[in-house]
Amino acid sequence: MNNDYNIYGKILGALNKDYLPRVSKNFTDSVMNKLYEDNKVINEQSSNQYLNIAASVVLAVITSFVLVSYDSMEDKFVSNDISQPEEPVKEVLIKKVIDKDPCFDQNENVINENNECK
Amino acid sequence: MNIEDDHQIIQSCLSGNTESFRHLVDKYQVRIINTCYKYTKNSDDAEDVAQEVFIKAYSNLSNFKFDSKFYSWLYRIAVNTSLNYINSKEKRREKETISEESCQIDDNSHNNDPKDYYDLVELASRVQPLIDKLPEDLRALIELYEIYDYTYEEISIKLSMPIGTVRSRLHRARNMLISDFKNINNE
Repeated sequence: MNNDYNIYGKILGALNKDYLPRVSKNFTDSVMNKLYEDNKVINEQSSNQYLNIAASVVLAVITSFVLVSYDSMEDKFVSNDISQPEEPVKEVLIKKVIDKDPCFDQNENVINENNECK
Repeated sequence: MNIEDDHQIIQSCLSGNTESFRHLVDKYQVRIINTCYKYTKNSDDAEDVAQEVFIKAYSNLSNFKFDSKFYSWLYRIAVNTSLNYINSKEKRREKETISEESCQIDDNSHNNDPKDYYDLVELASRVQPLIDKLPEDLRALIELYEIYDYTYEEISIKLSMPIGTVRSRLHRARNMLISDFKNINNE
């Protein structure tokens, strides 16, 4: 370890009459340890951020996959509905109207001639 | 033996070599702790505030303007951090309750193991003879740069000397001082 900077620091302090009578010998080590601790915390924070981003991406991919799958399933339901044969609307309605007509005797297939129908 | 220029050390830190910052802490801790002590009036607090000063400096190293001296920049951080410290509410309360007893506690802190501390009074008494021993041109350069806070450019103009020569002579003067200091202290 280069001790020259420490020696020159003491010389500078003495030259400028800018020193306390006593200074801890482990001051530099405690500063550097604190610095590395802070850097470690920052690194951990940034790695946590990366994890969060990765988790968000995975979640987004899963959501997209689920949505796409749901769409295709919905398409299948629709096509099934459409594929079922359906009675023509007009004929059904006409039939219903005729069925309910009190002036038409469906069994005899003739028009009633009572007073109400006249 | 090689003492790098502050700007070279800062460049090294900025390029990712955190360990280089140790050199700046080693070099300026004595003066920065003393600056903080002028405000905190307590040596333990002064070291705590000084530690904060160096950490702030490291965090803001990318904002350092290379046209000024690193110590001037560091000194401003030290003054601001010390002012923040004494202006904080807790410390204001503590200041109000400072008594003779608390002053005695500070004095007692000096009774810790002497091996844990540098005795700077004794060391300082050995420095002046080393300065006096330097060749006159080198002594003038050291005084201008380290005491009167001139920049390389200002010294170059004042002494009508190329900047490169100023740098190399200062480098030589520093190495002579360190070497002589080691010799008298058996370090």
